[in-house]
Amino acid sequence: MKYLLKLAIANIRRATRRTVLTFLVLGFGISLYIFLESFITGFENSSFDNLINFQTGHIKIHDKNFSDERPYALSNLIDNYETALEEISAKPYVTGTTARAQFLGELDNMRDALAVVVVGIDFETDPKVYNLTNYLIDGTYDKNGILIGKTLAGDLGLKVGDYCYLSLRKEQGAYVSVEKQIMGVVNTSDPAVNNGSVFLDLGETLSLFGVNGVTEIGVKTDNVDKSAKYAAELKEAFPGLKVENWKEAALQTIQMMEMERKFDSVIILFIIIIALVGIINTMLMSVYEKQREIGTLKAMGMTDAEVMRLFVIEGAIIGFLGGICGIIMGAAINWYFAEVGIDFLAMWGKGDLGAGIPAGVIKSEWIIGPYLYGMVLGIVSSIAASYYPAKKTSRMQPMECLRVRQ
Amino acid sequence: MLLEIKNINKIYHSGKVDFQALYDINLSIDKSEFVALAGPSGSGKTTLLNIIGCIDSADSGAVVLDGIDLLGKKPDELAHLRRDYFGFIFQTYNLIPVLTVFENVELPLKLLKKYSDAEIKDMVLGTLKRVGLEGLENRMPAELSGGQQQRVSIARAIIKKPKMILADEPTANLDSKTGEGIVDIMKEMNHEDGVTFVFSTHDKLIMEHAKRLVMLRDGKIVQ
Repeated sequence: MKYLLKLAIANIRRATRRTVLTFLVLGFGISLYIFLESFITGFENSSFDNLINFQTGHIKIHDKNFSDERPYALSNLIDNYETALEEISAKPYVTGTTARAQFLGELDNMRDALAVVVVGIDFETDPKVYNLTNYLIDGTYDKNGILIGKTLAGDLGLKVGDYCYLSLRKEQGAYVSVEKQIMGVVNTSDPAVNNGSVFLDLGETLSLFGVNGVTEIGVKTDNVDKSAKYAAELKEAFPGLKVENWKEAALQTIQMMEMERKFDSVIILFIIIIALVGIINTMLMSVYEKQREIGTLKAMGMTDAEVMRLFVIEGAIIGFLGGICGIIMGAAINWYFAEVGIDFLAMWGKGDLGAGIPAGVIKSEWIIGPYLYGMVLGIVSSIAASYYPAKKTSRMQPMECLRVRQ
Repeated sequence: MLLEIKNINKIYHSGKVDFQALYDINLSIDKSEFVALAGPSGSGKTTLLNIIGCIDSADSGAVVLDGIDLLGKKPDELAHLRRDYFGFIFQTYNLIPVLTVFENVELPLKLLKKYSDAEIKDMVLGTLKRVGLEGLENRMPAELSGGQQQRVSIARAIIKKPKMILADEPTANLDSKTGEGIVDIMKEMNHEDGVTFVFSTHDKLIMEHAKRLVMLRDGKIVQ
């Protein structure tokens, strides 16, 4: 085996330029795979963080008849939410609970008006579940006025201290308009919050809309990974409510991400195919060039299996070098995107690609998986690419190899 | 009897054209013989040599090596027979260009998997000394003259002490003086170690060294 390794290394060194080019192509493919996997993971984690921090908490609870198709309807509310909050908070694994009421309204700066989602929040308990306070960029977190998203504030030319009108339609059908002062502006990584949300005290919200119930209860637990188990327990305890862990609550977004990942897998597959074509080409040329030598080695008693092993080792070495190259290039690309990231807000403007899709700077993650898989992929694909020419040559009679003119 | 060939025929197929290279060849070779296969180009010398060395196969007839019938042997069995019985010297030397002289010569021993690295080193250096290449072990083949390369090829063929060495026109690419030197080395191996040599040549000066001459013409033994 040692001499086969020695021979394989000597063979690889014979056409240094071609070998370097091959493992650079392979390395490039692997580095793109590493980067894409790391960035997609970063993107997904940001999206999941968005969902958890701004929309679902670890567990989201609605009324049993709540409809995802009409999420802002003034019906199907949780009327006895205060009791429910108390009971849920008593669970040992629950670290925070809060109620929210989300209805539709209009924000008017006395010149223009924009449709908004009026989110009634409990200013005391909301930070125990959601992260809104961390994204306050101007003003104060004060229940005596309203908080609005940065993009919305920009669109209406509003700033902290300005007064505006919040118009809405009560449950009974009457239109109401109330003057509110802007106390704070938030700039979150969730476009839905930035572009069209107005945060108002929960009690006032319910009073304005003339309802007694909330649309949802958000729950934070001691372990997000156990949210499915905890949600199942709460489901049993509250049969009249619709209890969902964050993954169920954000099913559409997660399904969309899974689609994206499949699409990314196709891109990765294409990259790998391109790299494979390069390796196959190198191995075919390498095998063709060495046919006379293989004939000599076979004449000396080298078996078909040993010839096969020789080329497979050669392929594995090229794959290993390509893997190392890919890891170095992949780590370098990933370093940039983990440190600097991509500013999706700048790329997309205020566009909202859907619930949970993050805005702002998205950074790549440092995860070991793609590096290991990249290396395995490099070696396995190179071996696979070597297999056919190796098999073909190994089966040739020594004389057939020796007869080749070079 | 080391080798017995009975009624072998060999036909090459090239597209729709068939060419018969050997016709009903019968030949016996004893241990320690020094046999020259002579004849003009295309007479079938190389084909016969290749069939003897199991690197090509006959279409009909039998080849019996040391009592072993080679007919129907699997490729790996033939590889093992080549490894154990034969050393090859080629007209174009066929050295591995990316390996040093030392590495080229050690290859047959590595394939045998019987010797330690220290033993291999001793054997390689001893053999190189014997063929007059002492001190050149770290050279690459391209750094050697044709005569030196053929000596490396001889060293590679004899190092494992095979029962038979097959040499295909070993002096054809060399000037006559260098060619004489190569034949002298072959004769010395044959005389001192009792290695059987079968070589093909169309050089009359080289033929004179053979203890036995087998003449071929148009694929048939004529003498």
